[in-house]
Amino acid sequence: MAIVTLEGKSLQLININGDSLELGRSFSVNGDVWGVARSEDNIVVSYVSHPWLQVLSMDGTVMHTFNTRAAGGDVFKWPSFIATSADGMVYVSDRETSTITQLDSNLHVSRTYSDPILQNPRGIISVSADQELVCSRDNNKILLLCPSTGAITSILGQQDGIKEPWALTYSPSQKKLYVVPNETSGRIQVFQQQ
Amino acid sequence: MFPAFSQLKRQEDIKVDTDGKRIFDIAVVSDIRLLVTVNYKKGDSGEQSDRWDSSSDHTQKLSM
Repeated sequence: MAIVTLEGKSLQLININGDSLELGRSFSVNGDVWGVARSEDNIVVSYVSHPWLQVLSMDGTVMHTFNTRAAGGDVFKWPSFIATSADGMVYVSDRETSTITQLDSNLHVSRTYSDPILQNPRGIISVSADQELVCSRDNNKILLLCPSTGAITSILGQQDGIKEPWALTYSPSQKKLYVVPNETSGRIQVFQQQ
Repeated sequence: MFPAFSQLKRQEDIKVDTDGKRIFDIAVVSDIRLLVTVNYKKGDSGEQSDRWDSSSDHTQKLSM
C-alpha cells in the first residue's frame, strides 16, 4: 500500500496489486501535510502549517501528536520528510533547523542529530536499523546517518553528479540507490552497490 | 549484515515523462517497479515553490 498527500488537507491510500494501482480510502487531516510514512499499521505525518507530527490510524484517527510548541521547545521548525525504521523508530528531517530527529512510535523524542555536513535535509529513508540515508540539499550530498553513534558521513556528492538532492529510495534486492534531484527534468539517478 | 555504501557506481539515469513537473517522491514497489509522485504544476523547481503558505503549489508525497 502507498499513501500520498493530496491538494488540500487529505491523505489518499493507494492499493498496489501487481502493476495496477487502485484508490483506497481517503480522509482529511489536521493541516497541510508535508511528510508521510508507514509505521507498522499506522501512518506518521508531518505538518508544515504548524510544526507538528501525528500518528494516525489507517482510518485517520489521531493516535499520537507531537506539538513542538506545546513541548516547550523548537525541536521542529519545518518538519519535512519522514522515514520509519524496522525497529519502530521515526526519523524526521527538518529543513529549517538542518537536523534529523529520532522519535519512538509514540512520538517521544529520543535524539536530535546535527552536523555541519547536514544542510537543508530533505528526503530520508531507513535502510536498516542503524542506517538512514538523507538528501542534504544545500551541499549536494547524500549522507549516511548511523543513529547508534550519531556519525554522519557523505556517501555521494557533487563529484558523483549529485545536485540538490530532493528524494531517494533504495532497493535491497537490486542493491540500487535511486536519487531524485530538485528539477523538473523527470530524471532519476541510479547508483549500483559494488 | 548492513548494506555497504562505500562503493557506489553510477548507472544510466531513468527518465520519467513528468510533463515538466517536478518529481516529489519515489519508492520501490517491486524488483522492477518504482512508483513516483509528481507535483501538480509545471516549472516549480524553485525553493519558494514548495512553500505551502506562499504559493498555490500543492504537492503529492508518497510512502511505501
